[in-house]
Amino acid sequence: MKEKETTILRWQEAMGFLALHDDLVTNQLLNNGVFVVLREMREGQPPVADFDLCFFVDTLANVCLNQEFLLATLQGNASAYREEEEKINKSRKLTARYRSKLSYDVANREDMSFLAGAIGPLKNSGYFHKPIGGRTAKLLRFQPAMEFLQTVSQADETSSWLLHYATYQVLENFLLHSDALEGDFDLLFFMQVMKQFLENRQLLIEVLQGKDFRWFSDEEEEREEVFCVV
Amino acid sequence: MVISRAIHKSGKPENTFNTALLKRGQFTAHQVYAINSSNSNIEVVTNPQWQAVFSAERLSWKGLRKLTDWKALSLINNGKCLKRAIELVQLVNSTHYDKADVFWALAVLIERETKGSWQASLADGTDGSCIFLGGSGEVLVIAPTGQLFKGKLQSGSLVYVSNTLFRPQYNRLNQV
Repeated sequence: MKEKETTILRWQEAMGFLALHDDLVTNQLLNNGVFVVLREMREGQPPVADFDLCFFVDTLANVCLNQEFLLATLQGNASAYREEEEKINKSRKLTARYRSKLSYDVANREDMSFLAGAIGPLKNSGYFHKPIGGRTAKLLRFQPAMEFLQTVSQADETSSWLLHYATYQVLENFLLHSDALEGDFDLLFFMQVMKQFLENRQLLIEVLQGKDFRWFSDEEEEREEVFCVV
Repeated sequence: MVISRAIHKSGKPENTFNTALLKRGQFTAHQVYAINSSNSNIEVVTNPQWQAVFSAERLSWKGLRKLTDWKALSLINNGKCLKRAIELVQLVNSTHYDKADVFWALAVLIERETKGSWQASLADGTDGSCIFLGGSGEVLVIAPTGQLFKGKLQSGSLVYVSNTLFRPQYNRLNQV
């Protein structure tokens, strides 16, 4: 029997969210995230459950919030990532338990299992099956996502930094705002999307530097003719 | 190949892109061309199921200063580059599928030239239209009537139906 195709949830809300973030840089980054989601849904490995697009763009907005950090990290500046890491560790507003579990030693970053190790106890404690209005929201494919993270970590340091950062953001969003989440959230699919998103590094760098890649941003008539009708 | 011969014949003047063939509607269904940027050749592309297959015959085209122009244009200003592509598509006097094929061929070219900075993907419209989605949330709809419409995802110009299917909201799209 053919499996049911997973679909996107909260499309319209996600579009509204995009419209609210109308500064050139953020808007392009978020839209590109949506573009990657659609492409992965269609051509990559789709999620195992319907995908809440609004929750995704909300998380991505958090990932892209600190644009200086994002740009520096994409350019390979390790110290930028470590500074942000320190800030997160100091200012995290989550529960003490979560904070203690998710904190990690920068110096030990070579061991990419830290995140799984940090989050594992939370998973067992029920944090990742959060009751919402009578139902329970779940982070799906948690362990495969951690394994995926480790695989990426071995291949590319910059992607690894940012994927860890994105993972932190999605977990935080889940813990703090999952009441808005519709359905369950496939963590592995999220990380696959983020990997694809981060892979186009030159695009992200140029967007963060203010370049306008939008198709219809310039309505001006051109003087020179490139094509001439014969 | 009709397309190939026509391009050969009209390889001059250098700055000329041959659209006479397009005007005569000699494109067969799902048969479009694309420019191979690596060797300055033109390739005939057969695209039966929305998958560009760059395998058919190759031939050189001396008037390929255009490629440089495309490259420069796409790197400097994607909007202008796209505008040229749309102008070309509008010259296709054939079905909207053929128009979509031509646009897709150009999109492949631009994406290749910009090394992925410029992105496009395809979807179907519930009304049979062909929909192109841009990497920054753009929408270009080629309606069954052959008309082109542009818009943005965030403006509600498309309603999501499935991963490959959208319902165009023409009242939220602008005709090109």
